[in-house]
Amino acid sequence: MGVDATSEIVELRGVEVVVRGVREGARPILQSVDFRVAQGESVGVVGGSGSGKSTLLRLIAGVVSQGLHLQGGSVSVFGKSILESSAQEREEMYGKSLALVAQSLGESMTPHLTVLSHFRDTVGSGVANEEVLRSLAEAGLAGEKYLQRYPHQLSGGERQRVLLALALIRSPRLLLLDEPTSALDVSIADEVLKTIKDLQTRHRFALVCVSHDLGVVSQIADRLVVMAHGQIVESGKTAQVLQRPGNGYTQRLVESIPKLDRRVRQAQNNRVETVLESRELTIFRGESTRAIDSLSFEIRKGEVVGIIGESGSGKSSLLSAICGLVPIESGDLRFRRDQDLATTLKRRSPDLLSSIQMVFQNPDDSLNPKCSVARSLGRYTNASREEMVSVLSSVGLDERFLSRQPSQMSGGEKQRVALARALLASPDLLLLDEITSALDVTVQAAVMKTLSNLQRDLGVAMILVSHDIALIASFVDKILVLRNGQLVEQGTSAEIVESPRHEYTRKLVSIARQKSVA
Amino acid sequence: MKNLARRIFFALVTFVALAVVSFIGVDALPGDGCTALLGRFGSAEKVAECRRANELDKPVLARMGDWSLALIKGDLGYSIKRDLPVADVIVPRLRNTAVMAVVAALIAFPASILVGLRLGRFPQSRLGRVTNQFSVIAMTLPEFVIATVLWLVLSIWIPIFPGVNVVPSNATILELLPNVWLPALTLAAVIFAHSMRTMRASVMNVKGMPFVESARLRGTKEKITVRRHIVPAAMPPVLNVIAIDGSWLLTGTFVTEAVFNYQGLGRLAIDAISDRDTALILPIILFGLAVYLIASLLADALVKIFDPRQRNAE
Repeated sequence: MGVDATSEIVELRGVEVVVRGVREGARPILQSVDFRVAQGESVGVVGGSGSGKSTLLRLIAGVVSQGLHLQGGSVSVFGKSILESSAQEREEMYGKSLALVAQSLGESMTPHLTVLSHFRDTVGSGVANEEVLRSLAEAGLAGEKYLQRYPHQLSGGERQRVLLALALIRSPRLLLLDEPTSALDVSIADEVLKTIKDLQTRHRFALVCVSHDLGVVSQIADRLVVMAHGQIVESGKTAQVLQRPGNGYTQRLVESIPKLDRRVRQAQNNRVETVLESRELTIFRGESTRAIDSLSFEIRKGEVVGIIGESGSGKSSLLSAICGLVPIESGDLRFRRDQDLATTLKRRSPDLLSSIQMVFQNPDDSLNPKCSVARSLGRYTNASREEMVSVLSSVGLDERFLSRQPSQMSGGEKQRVALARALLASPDLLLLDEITSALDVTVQAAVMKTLSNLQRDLGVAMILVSHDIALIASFVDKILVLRNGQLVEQGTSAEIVESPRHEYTRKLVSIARQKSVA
Repeated sequence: MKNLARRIFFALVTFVALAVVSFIGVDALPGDGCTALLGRFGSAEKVAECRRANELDKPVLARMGDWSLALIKGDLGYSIKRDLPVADVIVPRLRNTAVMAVVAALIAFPASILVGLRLGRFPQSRLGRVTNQFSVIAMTLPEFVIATVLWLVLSIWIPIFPGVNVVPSNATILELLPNVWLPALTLAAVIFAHSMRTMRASVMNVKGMPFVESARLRGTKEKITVRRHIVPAAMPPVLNVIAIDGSWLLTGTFVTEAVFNYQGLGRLAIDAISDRDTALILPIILFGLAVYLIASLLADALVKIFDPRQRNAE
C-alpha cells in the first residue's frame, strides 16, 4: 500500500503523555511520538512492558487511561481531533469508523451476556441472526451453537474470534488490536493471526497491532514500529527492520526471537544414574478427568528434559505431582530409584523435599511481596550471607539485591531471585514451570542464558515446561510433547526439531519455524 | 438443583441447631411464665402450683420436645401472662411490622439503586459528593436520632404525620397507614444509605472493568452499556445487602418502634422481655432466624440470575 499523504487516517504529532501529578523530570509514558497510519495499511507496534505501546494504541481510540495526561501534541483520526470530540461523536465513531479489540485475557466480554446479546447491543437489537452468523463465520466460528454461549463457555481463541467479529461487523476502516494472541496457546495464536490476516485482505481496513512479540506482529504487519521507554526507536518496512535493524534495542529484540535450533551439545553417555522414573503414571484433575494418562519417561542425572504442551495438556499437573502438590492416581513415580513419590508434601522427608525444587510461572505470586530478597532466600534454608551472595551471582545478580523488596525489582530480576531460592536447597531435580512466559522477550532470552550456564556449572537435572518449542529446543537434551494428558512424542531435541513424527509436533515445529524466520 | 437442595438442607439444620440453643438460653433466664403472671409477690406455693398446672415443672428437654411437636403442628404456644395463644399476640404485630417494612423497602431500595447508579457513574459531581456525605451521616447516626429529627421536622414543624401512634395493634391497615410513615422513613434512611453506598461502590468498580470499555469501543450506545453491561454486573453485592437489610426491617426495628410507639414485633419483643414472658420471646427469636436464613437463600438465588457462571456451577 502506498503511503500517500492524503490517505492518512491516523496522525499523531509530537505526542507527550505523562503520569498525572508527577513532578517535572519524571520519565514520560510517551515522548515526542510521531505516528501515522495510511488507509488500508497494516502497522505493527512492538515493545516490552512499559514501552508505552498500549498507551499509544488507546490514544488512537481517543482513550487516555486514568492517571495519565496528554501534555502535548495532537492526535488526529480521520481528520478529526479525537480527544476533543464529544461523547456522542465518539459513540458514532466507534464500531463504524474504528474499533479496538483489547487484550485477550477473557475480560473483554461481558460475563453475564451471551454472544448473540453482545452483537445485539453493539449493532442494535434488530440485527438479523444471519448477519451475526456470517460475521462469526468470517472470524472462523461456524455454527449457531455459539450464539447462545456465555463467555465462560468459550475457549480463549473462541473469545478472541467473537471479539474480532464484533469489532468488524459494522465494517470499520481502522482496527486496533492490543496483544491479540498473548493469552493464547501457540497453535491457536497462529490460527487467529491467519484469520486476522485473511479478514484484512478481504475487508481492506487499516490495522494497528500492538504486541510484545516481534514474531507475532511481523506476520501481519507491512510496517513495523519499535518502541522503548515511551519513544519510537525504529520504524520501517517489516522485512527491512527484521533484516537490518538499525537500532540497538531492535537488534536485541530481533536476536531474542527464539530460533528453532536443536541442541548442539552431545548427549553424554556417562549419565547412568536415574533421577526420576515414571511408569504408567496417571493423575486426575478433579473427580474423573485424566490430567495425565499413563505417562512413562525417565530422567537421568544432569539431564535437561523439556515438556512441550498447551493449556490443558497436563504439563502443570505433572510438575505438581512430582513436587507433591497433587496426589497420583495410579502408576509409579520414583525419585533416585528408591523413593516413592506417590506421597504428597506432608508425608515427604525434609531431605526429599529439598532435593526437588520448583520455580513457578509468575514471580509476583511466588515471592512474598513484603520480604526482602535476603529474607526470602534465608527463611527456610538458613543460608549464610556468603552463600546467598554466591547463589545470587550464579543467577546474574549481585550483593546489592539482598536488601531489595520485590516491588523494587523488574520481572526478570524477581524470577532470578526465585531461581536462586530454589538453587539454595542444592536440589537434584529442578522443576521450571513456564518461568519465562511472564517476561519480556529480551529478558526471556537473558534468563534462558543464565539457566544454560547454571546447568553447565552445576549439572543439576531439570524439567523445563513450556508452550514454546523454539524457546527450549536449543537448551534441552530431550523433549516430551504432551497433548490432552497423553505423550504424543518423545525424543532428543534434534529428533523432534528435525524429524517430528506426530502430526501435532509437526504443526508446532512448523509454527516455530515460521516465527523464527519471520 | 442438587446444590439448592443442599443449601436448603443446611439452612434447616442451622435453624434447628439455633432453635435448640435459643430454647436452652431462654430457659436459663431467671423467671418463667408463672413468675411473670404472679409477679414479684407470688408466693412459692402459688408459683409451684401454676407450674404444675402449665407443665412447666417438667425437665427442660421434655418441655423442648413438647414445644417442638406443638410447633410442627403450627401451635406457637400459650402466653400465661397475657392469657392468650402466642399466635394471637404475635400475628397482628407481625402484620404491622411487615406493613412498615414494605413501605420502607419500597421507599429505600428502588431509590438506592437508581441513586447509587448515578453516583457510581459520576462520583465527582457536586450533588454526588453531597449525597454521599449525607448517606455516611445517615449510616452512622443512631436510629433514635434520625427518628427524633424526622419527628421534629415532619410532625412538629411541618405537621404532616402524627408523631405518636395511638391506634391499637389490631387496627385495620387503613387506620394504621398514617402512622406508618415516620417509622418507615426512619428505617428507609438507614437502609437507603447502606444499599446506595454499596451500589455506588459496585458501579464504580464495574465501570472500570475491561468489558465495559470494550463495549464502548465497539460503539455500544451509552444507555445500553449502562443498562445491560454495568447494572447487571453491579447487582450481586447490592442484592446481598438488600437481603440483610430486608431481614433487618422485619427483625431489628426495636428502637424505631419504641420511639414512635408503633405496635409491631420489635415493640412486642421489648415488652415480652421486660415482663419476662418467655413464651413470647422464643417465637420472636425463631422468626428472626428464619427471616435471615430465607433472605440469604433468596439473595443467592437472585445472584444466579445475574451471573451465568454461578448458574452453571449447579
